[in-house]
Amino acid sequence: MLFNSVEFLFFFLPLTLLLYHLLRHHVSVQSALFLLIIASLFFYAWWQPAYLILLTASVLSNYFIAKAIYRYRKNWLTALGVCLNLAVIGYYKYSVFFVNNLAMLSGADWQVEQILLPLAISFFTFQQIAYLIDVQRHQVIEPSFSKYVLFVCFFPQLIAGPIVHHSEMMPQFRQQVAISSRHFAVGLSIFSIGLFKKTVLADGIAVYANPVFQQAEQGITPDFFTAWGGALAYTFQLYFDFSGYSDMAIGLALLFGIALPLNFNSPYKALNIVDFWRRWHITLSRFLRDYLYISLGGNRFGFIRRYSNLFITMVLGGLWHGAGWNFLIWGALHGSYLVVNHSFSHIRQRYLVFIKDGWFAPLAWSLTFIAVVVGWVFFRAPSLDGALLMLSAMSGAEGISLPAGIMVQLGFLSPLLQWLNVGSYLGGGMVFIETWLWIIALLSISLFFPNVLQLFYQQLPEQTRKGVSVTDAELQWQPSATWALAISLLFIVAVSTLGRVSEFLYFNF
Amino acid sequence: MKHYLKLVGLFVVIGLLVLCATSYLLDPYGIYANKDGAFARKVAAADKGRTVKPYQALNSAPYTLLVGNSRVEIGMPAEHAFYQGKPAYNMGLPGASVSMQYAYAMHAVEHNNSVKQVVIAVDFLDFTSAADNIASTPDNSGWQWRLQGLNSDSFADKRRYIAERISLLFSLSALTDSVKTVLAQQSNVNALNRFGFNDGRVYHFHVGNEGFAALYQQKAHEMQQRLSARQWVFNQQSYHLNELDHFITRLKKQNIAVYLMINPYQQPYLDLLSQHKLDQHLANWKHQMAQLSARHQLPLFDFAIASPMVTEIVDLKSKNALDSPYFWEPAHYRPAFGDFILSTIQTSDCRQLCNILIDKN
Repeated sequence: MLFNSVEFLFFFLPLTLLLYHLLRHHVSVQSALFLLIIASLFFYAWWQPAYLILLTASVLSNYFIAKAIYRYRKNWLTALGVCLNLAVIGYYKYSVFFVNNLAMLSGADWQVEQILLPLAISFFTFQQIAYLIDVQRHQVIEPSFSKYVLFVCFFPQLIAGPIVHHSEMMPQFRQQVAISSRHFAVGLSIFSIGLFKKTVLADGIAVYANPVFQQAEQGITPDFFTAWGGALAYTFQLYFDFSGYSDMAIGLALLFGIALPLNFNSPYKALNIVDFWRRWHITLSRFLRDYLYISLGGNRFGFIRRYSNLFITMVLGGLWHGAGWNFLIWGALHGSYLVVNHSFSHIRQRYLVFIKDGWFAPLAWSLTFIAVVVGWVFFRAPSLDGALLMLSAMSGAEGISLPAGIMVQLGFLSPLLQWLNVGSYLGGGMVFIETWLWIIALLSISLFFPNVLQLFYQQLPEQTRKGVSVTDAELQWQPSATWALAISLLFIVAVSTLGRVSEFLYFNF
Repeated sequence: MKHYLKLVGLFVVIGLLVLCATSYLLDPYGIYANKDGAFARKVAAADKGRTVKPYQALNSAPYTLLVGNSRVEIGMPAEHAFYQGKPAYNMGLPGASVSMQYAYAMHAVEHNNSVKQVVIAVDFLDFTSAADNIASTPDNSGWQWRLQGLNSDSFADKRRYIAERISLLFSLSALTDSVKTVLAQQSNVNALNRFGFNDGRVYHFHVGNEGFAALYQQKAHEMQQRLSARQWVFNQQSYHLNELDHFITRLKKQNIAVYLMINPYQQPYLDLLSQHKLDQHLANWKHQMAQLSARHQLPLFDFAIASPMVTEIVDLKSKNALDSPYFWEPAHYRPAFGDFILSTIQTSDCRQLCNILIDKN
């Protein structure tokens, strides 16, 4: 079930909310939690009921393995648990990729049928691996089965995160926080902003990204501006899609009195790649740091090991997103970016002290942003050939041209356009203008608008703000008539897009 | 906080009502109003014909129904004596397959007892198939749900239909299209009226700015691409002729007068067909069409002949739309030619414009 669907917004959510609060107030908190479990499983089963068995088996086996780890304190039990999880995700997500590549390398004629990827498998598997490791490391255990199930399956975060840590969820299930109208007001407002970001902004710009990548995939070379338009459109589509989903998840959880961690903190404002990864998919970065980078040795064995650990972590992070060479390249690219970034910071502190933040910031931002966009081309393109064709066009190697109608309007620049060897083509003028207007608008929002954390800083629970540094924004949400009007408008416009075909990009991971 | 929540609820309800009222009153797709209001040019409907035409047709109670593809939509006049002063609905569907054209038309007929005469304009390429893929049944799954509406057996189809109907009244697209309808009334963009006729103003714009050459080049390029991509053939085993046969049979059962015609093309279009070795297929198709019309005791008006209007040489450099009054480009005739077509059909007098094909077997 999608958050931006009629069945979710007008049936599932109101009914679940109503029953949850009725049970909580008139029966017991435990019964309300049971209802949330049933609702979450129903929410998951709506997509593909058969995979509910897989989710249930995964939850059951991890719960009992965790208990065994806690009781017997054996490392091999943890290893077994982690391996079992990796085997399941390996079968569903990576087996086709590895067998096909192995067959290609060995020249064998192996054929593996494409396996339908169970929804959210990467999220619920990694969440549980983290739990098993923490049971071993810190000797903490959740004795209540129902609370463990809810920790894994809580529907606002089940499908596409944020990836939650048991230490931030279990206490909330136990504490029985009183749910106030403040939870509703803030939750509803954040949900509406997320819904707007997804349905209006992300889906709105998607139509300018998809055709360009599809054409490149078919071998049709885009020109310079079309390629950049497509790549930038996807850059903003992905951000507003995923951050919109995360905002909706945070808002929905608040309606049930639960605080989820923040997942995005205006990543396109980042001035370097290290900063970008502190702002983009924060809960995944946290997972990769705590359970992969640190397990590999982190920064404890000198800078060469540190950089190689960083690189390996990012390559595996790339593979977490999908089984394909492009995801691997994307991860390797970001691993390299991070190594270069750390090295440069080190050199700058020692030898380049004349570089001042003030004048360096625009250059640093441009470089970071372009590096991220180049990465997204690999992330989006279905094949390596498609990605390379896009990048070749973006470099200007495939020529520069403009729609004939726009060339006519730019007559006063004709000497310059001739000097730059800019050609023209028939049609496409309106699409060209719309693409770039969307890009300018969404770039402005990404750079100059406060994010949800900034807007609701004083209202959000501590768990959501934890570990995220944020500068105060002048614009702060208040329970005023003006904000009620603004949020209502966002909600109405978002709801009015429900007839459109839409899917969340991160459902694929 | 409770006051805030109440305000949000109130604003949402008011906002939804305002949104629906705006779309209903401005009627961007011409599906609600029964009279032409201040915004008769439905600019947002021009590229949504497949979505809005079934609903437009329900509201227009036509006496005459014009059936075909984009040539009919652009080329037939909105007013003509043939319509006998009664409403005519233009069910021309750009790029639609014959099964879609006839199913949409049949839907309009079955929901309007008013329909008494139907003009079916046929196109050779609509009856061809890729040589490596001769389909004996059409794939209607992409749009059949729209016509079945709530009568569909599938829950998913019903849901899709309801969602579309609601979105035509309440959606972001409906809102932006309403604004576009108000702002672009005088613009040089195509628009449908509520009877499905497309005013083709974008052609005026392109001719005025770039001359006829741009339109001719674009069409030639498009046709070259299409015809070169695959080997096209006319094959009697494909579903196309059966669809037409079935459609005419159903119309005649309802005592509706049927007029069958072949759309005109200019010489460059016919030359392209020859280049791609399709002239024999064209002749065969015409022969089969003549047999089909004979079976139904209908005359077949063939306008795809080298008539003076078709062979007239257009000055491609001209930026004056009046210099080619009968064709925008080789495949799309203008309402002035459509006017002749309807007069010919009405009087059964071809003069030099057409041949009346009669099967001699």
